[in-house]
Amino acid sequence: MIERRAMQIPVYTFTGFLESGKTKFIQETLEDPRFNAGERTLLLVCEEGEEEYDLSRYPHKDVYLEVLDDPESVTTEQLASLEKKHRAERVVLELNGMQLVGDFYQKMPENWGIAQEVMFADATTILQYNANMRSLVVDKLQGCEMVVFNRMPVGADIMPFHKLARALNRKVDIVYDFQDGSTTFDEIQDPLPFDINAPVVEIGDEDYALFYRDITEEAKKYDKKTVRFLAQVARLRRDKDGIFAPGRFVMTCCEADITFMGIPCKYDKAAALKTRSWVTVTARVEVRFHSLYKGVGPILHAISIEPAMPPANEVATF
Amino acid sequence: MTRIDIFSGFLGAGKTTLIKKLIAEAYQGQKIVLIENEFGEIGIDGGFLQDAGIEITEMNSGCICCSLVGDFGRALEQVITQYHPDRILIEPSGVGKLSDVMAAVLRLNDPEIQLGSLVAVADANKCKMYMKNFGEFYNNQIETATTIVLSRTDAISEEKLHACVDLLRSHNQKATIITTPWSALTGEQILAAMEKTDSLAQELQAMAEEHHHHHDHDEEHEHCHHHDHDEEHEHCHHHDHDEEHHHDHDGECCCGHDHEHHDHDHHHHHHADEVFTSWGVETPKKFTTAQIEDCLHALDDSEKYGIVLRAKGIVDGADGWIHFDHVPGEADVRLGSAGVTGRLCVIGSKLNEDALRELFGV
Repeated sequence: MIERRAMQIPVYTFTGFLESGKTKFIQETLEDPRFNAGERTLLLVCEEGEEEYDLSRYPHKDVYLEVLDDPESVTTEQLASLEKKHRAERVVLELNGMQLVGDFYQKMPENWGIAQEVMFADATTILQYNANMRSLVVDKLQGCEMVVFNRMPVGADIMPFHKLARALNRKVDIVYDFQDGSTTFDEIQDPLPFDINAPVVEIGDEDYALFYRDITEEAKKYDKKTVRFLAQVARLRRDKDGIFAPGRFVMTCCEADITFMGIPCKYDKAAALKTRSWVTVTARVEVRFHSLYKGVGPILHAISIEPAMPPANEVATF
Repeated sequence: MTRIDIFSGFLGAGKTTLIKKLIAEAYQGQKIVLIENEFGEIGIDGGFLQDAGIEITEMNSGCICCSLVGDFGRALEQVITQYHPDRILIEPSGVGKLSDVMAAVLRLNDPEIQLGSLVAVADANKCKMYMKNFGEFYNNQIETATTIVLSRTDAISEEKLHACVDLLRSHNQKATIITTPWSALTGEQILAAMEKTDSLAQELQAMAEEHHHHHDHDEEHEHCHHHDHDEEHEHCHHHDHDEEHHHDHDGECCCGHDHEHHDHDHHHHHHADEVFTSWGVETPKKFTTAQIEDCLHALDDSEKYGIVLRAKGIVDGADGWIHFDHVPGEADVRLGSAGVTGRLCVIGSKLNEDALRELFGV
């Protein structure tokens, strides 16, 4: 898979809202001979703000600018023909902030592969955008490998930005560009809100979403451990007894994206449980191959399942 | 009866600032409910609203993927039942379509609700860029609005402001576009523009009516005799006896009203239409007093411009606003208070509109 990708057209994607500094960054990157050593580069632009590209300043001129005026109606054939037209070896893509990143990726020709995705965010507006266009912010933050919060006022508190990014993307590299030109890398450690080394790992009612994400992303950490959490009962398969899925309804962005996130749990009296009833689950985690995952994943083994009262907020959030 | 005003506009356009200004300066004495569906940078603080006697309702769907309609309609009904306000101000999400909010209001089909002003607040510096890159929702706000209120016009070159107005005009021919910096305007002026109690069309109509009145002087007696049976004629009589009055009189003079009621006048009005034409334009263009005086003087050239009976307007000047009222041989040009945008009106016969445009450079 990786080898095949190496033969593909790498796509360097830059996301973020209008005036977040995408064009300026791309311009400077292409002026840098370390990034622009003469590769034939298709520069695909889906947004045209105040900043403009100046191709004359590049150390190598094999950069071919194409503007997609209506990025929503772009087709795979169109993208493939642009690649062919310029015999591009790689693609630098500036997306439109109002478009979902995935919508564009879906239209990419099969031989295009995402090499890197970087998001830019203007620190003076991103929190307001997040409050009003949460789904668009989530879309960009969840998928990127690096986020740059720029135009940070000197001395500004970075925590709101750290929290915004980290809650949505555990692995993202976070960079802060301050208005005085200085740059800081985010090195804040986020300890889990529960003690993973305790004899029984107690998950607080408000920490379920975080726990769920952690155990699905880094299951091995939980292998052979005993966990306890409040959950709602869900059935996995009607025809199979002895297993159910305790979990919670989790909201990532807003009401529209509420989904049930449960973990398979072996329990010999599972059939007697009432769907959607609340229970306190105490279970041992086994990480191993399971057909549900079509691979390796966490499977709970119930130690006790006790009826419980619903929590104050039935929907869990990050 | 509850009137509903909707204030759309992208994040940071200045919706909240505009609403605060209107509450403080224009909506006073009315029972107002503000429905916010946006979490802005400048919050409308509770204290300010309490002082102004305003109820505030926040809708908690501040997200593009949450559907506005449905819940929104219910919330609106609730607000009306609970508070019976004179007016509801809605500040929808900056990334929503104005037509969706409008449709949600109309769909309520409530005879107690009257759809008021549809406002789009737009940052003059960013219009072009937003139009190009945001597409649908942004254009929808501009195209649906009955009034476009430009913000930050004091921080923009005249050239850019013109380009911005032209661009907006190409998407919306009818809306009043407020181009004057808000600090130079009162909330009442903005409200009057929003509610079309002060619009170019009305100004032209008023001028035409005054002139028709003035011009057909010989017929006026007959005309007004006829009126004697009408309750409005006291007003009319007063008018008759005072020839000088026609200058200051607004559009509500007797002629304007009466032709709707009387066949006789109707005919009269027709006659007037055949004689008069009117030309009017709204523009943010800046003039000097000398330029306006030169333009007015040039209007005497009837070969070139047609027979100008009257030219009237207010335009942005170098030091304050220039108000002018010109009848052949008599020009009144003076400085006065700011208008929401510059406005030029000319009535006469066989007017050459292209030549007039060229003369004023609009």
